[in-house]
Amino acid sequence: MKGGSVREIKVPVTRVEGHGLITVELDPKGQVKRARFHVTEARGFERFCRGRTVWEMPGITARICGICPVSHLLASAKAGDAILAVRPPRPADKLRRLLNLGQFVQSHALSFFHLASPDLLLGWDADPAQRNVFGLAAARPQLALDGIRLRAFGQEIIAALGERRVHPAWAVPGGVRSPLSPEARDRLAAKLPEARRIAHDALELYERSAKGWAEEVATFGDFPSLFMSLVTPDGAWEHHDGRIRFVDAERRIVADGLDPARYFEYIGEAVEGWSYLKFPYYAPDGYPGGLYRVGPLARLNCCDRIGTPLADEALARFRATADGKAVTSSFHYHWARLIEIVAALERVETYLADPEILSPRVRAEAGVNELVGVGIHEAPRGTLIHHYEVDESGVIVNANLIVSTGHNNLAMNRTVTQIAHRYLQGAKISEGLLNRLEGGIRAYDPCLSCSVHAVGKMPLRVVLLGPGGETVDEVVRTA
Amino acid sequence: MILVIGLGHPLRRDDGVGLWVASRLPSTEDVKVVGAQDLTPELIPQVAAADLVIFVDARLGAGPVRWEPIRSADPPALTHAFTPHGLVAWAERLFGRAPEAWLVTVPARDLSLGEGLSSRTRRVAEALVGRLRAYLGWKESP
Repeated sequence: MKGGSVREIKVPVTRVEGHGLITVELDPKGQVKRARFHVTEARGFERFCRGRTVWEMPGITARICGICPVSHLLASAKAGDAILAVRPPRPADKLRRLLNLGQFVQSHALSFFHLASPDLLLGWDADPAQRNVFGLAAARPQLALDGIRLRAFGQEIIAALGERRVHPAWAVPGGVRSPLSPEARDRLAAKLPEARRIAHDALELYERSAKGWAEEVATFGDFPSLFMSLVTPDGAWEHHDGRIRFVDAERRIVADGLDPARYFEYIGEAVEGWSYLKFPYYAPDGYPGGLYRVGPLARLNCCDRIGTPLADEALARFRATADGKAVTSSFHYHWARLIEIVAALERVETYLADPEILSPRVRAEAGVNELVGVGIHEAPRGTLIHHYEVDESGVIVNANLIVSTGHNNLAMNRTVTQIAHRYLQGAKISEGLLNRLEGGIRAYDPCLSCSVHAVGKMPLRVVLLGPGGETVDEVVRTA
Repeated sequence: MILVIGLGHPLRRDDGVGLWVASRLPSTEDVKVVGAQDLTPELIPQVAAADLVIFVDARLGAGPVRWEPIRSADPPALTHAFTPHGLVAWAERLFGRAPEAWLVTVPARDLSLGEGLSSRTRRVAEALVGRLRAYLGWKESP
């Protein structure tokens, strides 16, 4: 299977979900030549969208993924705004932002408390029987319960605004279908203090513990690269609008004020035969030299400031570890997520105190005024792009979706190579190597539900290949 | 309280049969019916509070509807979503209570992108809805 095509990958299929697959290739001297993270399911969702109307698209694309439906809902609605050539009323913009902040809280909470914490707090070489969330619950029951409560708060924001049983697509081209009710606002406001306490405690725990993870910080995707995210016109942290900025490892601005709708002028998409997931790259630097990262780490590296007091204090501590340059270790995606939870909750408080979110003026009505529309916003995992072409009736004739996991594809591959170089000893996949390869991928919090548009369970298979392409060792960690 | 969780992907034809079944079972005071594209942590407290949980999901292949008892098990390592077994285990570990739980799987053959069930899966699902309604105390057909 050396350098093989995806047709050679054996994927156990139980329903429609795919395995994550990592291959580590050895050279004739038994040294690591490279490692690859394969995505082994075909996508095809763009073709499925053809023939549907732009007004249907938020509801349809929200069903791509059960993990992050809000992200697709909002990116799709924004692409619809562009096709209608309208600007949503200000209350609608605030409500969409509130929804996205709820998504940030629930998604980042799941990533940190449920998926990453067992590795971080119980140790990479801990007994596998204990190094899971149950072990965490036994060792730190309060932390495990806090994680559920924080995620539930984010979910409650989403439910109060756009839960599917209210309507399948709350965000629509031109705005949203309904404002927040006063009762829901009051209910959320009452629960906000506990959410902020949990976020504060988790951030403090991370910062207190970080010194103990120096080796992982240095080997889990620590390399210079570009970073990309949206920022506001004056350079602040942004999650729903704004312009695209690229910075380098020194935090020097490489490109700024880029029009999101012209993304294809500065983002190229490469295809490799061994993965179904495309490899986006910064076009001026070519492929694969134009590797860039998106998501929480990139957003914190790109912005000049966050714009809320506690988050900006945390950002200053974060940047101090890199002497003001970009934080280049993907391990610190976890840290960045916690800072973004703090930022999101500060902004949620602001919106809940804003009477405009109760305004009934939430939707601009219009017909088809443009035949192309691009919607870009920041999903929890990074920049999400929906690009539609429609006919005069608003029927989709072409669609392109670039999801955050795709943007990070090159970086994830470089990360597993770095980890394999450091931790592979001999020709055996040890438990410690497997744990760290998992941890390296998990730092990016990839969502393969989005990237391949299928049910999103992701067990892991690691294959060690000899110089002739023969399988030397293989480990499967199943669901 | 009985909790019924219909699980599946709404845009992968027969994969969505669990959602299809759940949409035809009304919630009552004693029975809560939930449709889920993935099993996420918000469901843990609901599972812990239930006396009986019935997961309805698609199963690739042929044959009859299968009813299998669920025992708690460790969750997978990288996933955002849980298995029914993992969800029950979470409830047990965090809330000290694991309800009786069953995984009901409906044979599915068409998992391509699209909406609507294949005719065979739909027939089997309709029969399952009738059986569940009878078991849960509803007499009328959907």
